[in-house]
Amino acid sequence: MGISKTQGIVLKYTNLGEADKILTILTRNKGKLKAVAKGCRKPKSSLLASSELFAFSEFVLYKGSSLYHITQAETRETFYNLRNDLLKLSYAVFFVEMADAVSEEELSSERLFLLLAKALYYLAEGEIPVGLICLAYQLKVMDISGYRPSLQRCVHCGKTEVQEYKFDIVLGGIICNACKKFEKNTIKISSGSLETIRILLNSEISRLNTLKIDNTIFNEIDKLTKRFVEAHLDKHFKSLDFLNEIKNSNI
Amino acid sequence: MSYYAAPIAKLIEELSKLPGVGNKTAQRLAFYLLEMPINEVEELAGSIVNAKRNIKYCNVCCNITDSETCNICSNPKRDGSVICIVEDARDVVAMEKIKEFKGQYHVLHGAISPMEGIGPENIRIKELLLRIGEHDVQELILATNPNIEGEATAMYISRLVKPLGIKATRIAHGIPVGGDLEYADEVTLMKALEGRREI
Repeated sequence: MGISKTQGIVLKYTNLGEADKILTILTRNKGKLKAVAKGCRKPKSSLLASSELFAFSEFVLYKGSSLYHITQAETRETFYNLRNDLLKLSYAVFFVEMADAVSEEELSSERLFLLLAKALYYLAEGEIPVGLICLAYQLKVMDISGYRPSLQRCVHCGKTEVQEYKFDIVLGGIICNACKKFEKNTIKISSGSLETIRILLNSEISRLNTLKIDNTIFNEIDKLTKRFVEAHLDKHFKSLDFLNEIKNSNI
Repeated sequence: MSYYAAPIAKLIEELSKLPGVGNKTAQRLAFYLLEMPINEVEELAGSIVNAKRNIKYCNVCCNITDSETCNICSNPKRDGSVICIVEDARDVVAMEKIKEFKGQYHVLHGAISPMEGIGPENIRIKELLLRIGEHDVQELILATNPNIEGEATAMYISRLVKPLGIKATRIAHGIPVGGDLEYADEVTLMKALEGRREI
C-alpha cells in the first residue's frame, strides 16, 4: 500500500523504545488506526507536537506489515487551552476515551471524527458550559454508534401519545402508560428533560451557548445519559472516575 | 522443547524480560555472559542484587538513595525553601547536570494520567504536602514533563498549594537549542515568543 494523507486526532499513545510512540489516531477517512511515530519523543523531532494526546494534525502515513508509520505530520490544532484547566482536561480525556471505545479500526466514521474535533474545540474555547458539551457529546456519540434514543414514540408499542414519561435504559427510549408493566431498568424523566435531549441531539455543539437549562433538568439528563452509555457500551471509563474525583475535590 | 541446556535457557528467559530486549538479543547477551570471566559475571550479578536490596527512597524527597536521606537533601548548602518537583529520579540527574539549581527536589514517581487511571493518590503528592507542612517552603518549581500528564500534574499541585500561599512556578516552554523553527508547532512558538528576552 502506498503513502496516504489524512487528518487525524490522537486518541491515545504508548511509548515504544527510547524515543518512539505508537499512536492510536481517529482519522477523518480511514477510521481508527495505530501508527508508529518514530523519534517523536526527541525534543527536536518534527513529530513532537503531532504525537501529543488530542493533537489534530494532517498525517502522511504508509502501511507497514502490521502498523502504519508516520512520515510527516503538520499540526492543525493542539487544543492548548485544555492544559490550563484540570476540569476541561479531564473532560477531554473522557471524550477521547469514549471515541476510542466506539470506533473501529479502519472503519471510516467522519461524523465521529468531526464530532470529537468540535467537542474538543468548544471545550478548549470555553464559551459553552463544559457539562452541556459533555451531555451533547455523549448523546451524539450514542447516536453515531446506532443507539439514538427514541423520544417520539413508546419503544414497546410504538404509541405516540405518551403522557407520563419513563425512559427505558435497555431499549433506549420512552415508554407509555400502557406498557408500564414491562418497565424494568427505567428512569422517570420530565417533559422538559426530554425536550432538552432532543435539542442536544439535533443541535450543533456550536449553538449550545444559547441553551439555558436549570440544574434539575441537567441532573436528570446527566443521570440518564450515564446509565444509557454504561448499559450499551458496556465499558468502564477510567477517565470518568478521575473526572468525578476532580469535580468533587473542587481543585 | 528448548534447544539449549536448562541453565542457558533460563538465563535467556530472564534476560528477555528486560525492556527492549527480545529473544535474539537475550541469546546474544547470554552467550556473551558465558564468555566473560567468572569474577566479572559474579560482580555483575552481585551489583544487580546489591542495587535492588540497598536502594530505598529518601525520606525527604522520595528520590532513590542508599541511605535514609539522599545526598542532596542532607547537603546543608542546598536551599530547602525551593523545591523542584520532577516525575522521575532520572529527571533529578538531568536537572543536576546543569549545575545551576541550588534548591532541593521532590520526586513524584509518575504523573497523573486520567486515561491510565493514575490519580493523585497514586503518586507522591501526599509526601510533598507533608513536607510542605513540616518545612518552610517558599517556592515550588513544577518541572514535570510538558505533555498532557505532566501538565495535569503541575496544574493539580499548583491548585493544591495555592491556598497555602506558596509560590508555584512552571518551567518555561520554547524552541530547543539547535531546533528548527520551521518544525515547531504554533503553541511552542507562541510560548517562545511570550518568553522572549532582550539580548
